Amino acid sequence: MQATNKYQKRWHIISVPAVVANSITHIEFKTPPEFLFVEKVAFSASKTGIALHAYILGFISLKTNTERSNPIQRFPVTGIPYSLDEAAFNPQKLNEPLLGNTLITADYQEVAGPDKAPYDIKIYLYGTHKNKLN
Amino acid sequence: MPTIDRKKKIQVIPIVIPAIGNEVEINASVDKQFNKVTGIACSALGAAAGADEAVLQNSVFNRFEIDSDEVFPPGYEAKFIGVHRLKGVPPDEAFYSNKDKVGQIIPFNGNNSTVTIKYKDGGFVAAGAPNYPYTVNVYLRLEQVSDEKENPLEKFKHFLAQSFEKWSKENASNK
Repeated sequence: MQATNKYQKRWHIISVPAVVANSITHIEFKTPPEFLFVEKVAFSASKTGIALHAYILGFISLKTNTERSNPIQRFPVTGIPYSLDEAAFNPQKLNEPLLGNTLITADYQEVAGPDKAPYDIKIYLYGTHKNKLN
Repeated sequence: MPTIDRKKKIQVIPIVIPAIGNEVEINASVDKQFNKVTGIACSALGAAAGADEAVLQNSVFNRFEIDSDEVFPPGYEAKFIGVHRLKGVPPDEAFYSNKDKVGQIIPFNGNNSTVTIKYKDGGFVAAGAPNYPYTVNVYLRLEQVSDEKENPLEKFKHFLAQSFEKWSKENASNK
């Protein structure tokens, strides 16, 4: 009898359009309820018609809504990651797992200024889905 | 006599982008001789000199499915699986794949599965040079994976997973 110990993996994207130059943007979102837990978080910036490349545009800090939690850390946001794994932060290294249906608050500090802003940023969540593979 | 591994193959799915901002949908069938898709990558070619990497910058996949199984959600930026991001890395390591906790690849179905891709151009224009039309090549790494039931190690892993699952349920109900 073949056991299915593997679950589907899924991506989820949170878009933050038109970040204003030299500002702090406050973002609140919930990790998808269909996720058992979040394994990776990645960030990206883009602007129509312009290649932003590896220029550091700002920093994002994440915080879960629990009594014991502190801000997860500050991460640079650029126009292109070095690689998916290198750009991603692994929530499994936290003391507590980042579960599905969990409220996350994030603050994005824009530092590139009016030369680059406004631009869009995306927060990518990669997690284990509740559905098992066949 | 040298041996040749015929159990792996790279399948290329070309998507031609005719003009700025275009969204193109394409369907392709995975080579039926290979039962698993273990990696995905993409690159752009044919744009102005030096712009092949840049045209992927703001472009997204609005649909990427294998047999209706979602690979990437709408809005997933093509640059995340672009091969240009891994300069100097051997080609076989430049592919994106889903992995489980121990780093083992979780493949998608191969074997004549239908790949549906909807690509939207991000509108990058290099100064003084035309970028359009250009072609996005989506690369699928295909493998013919033997039946796990025949592999003693895989059989043992499944036995352990099954036993742990059973023990977890019994302990959960005893609390």
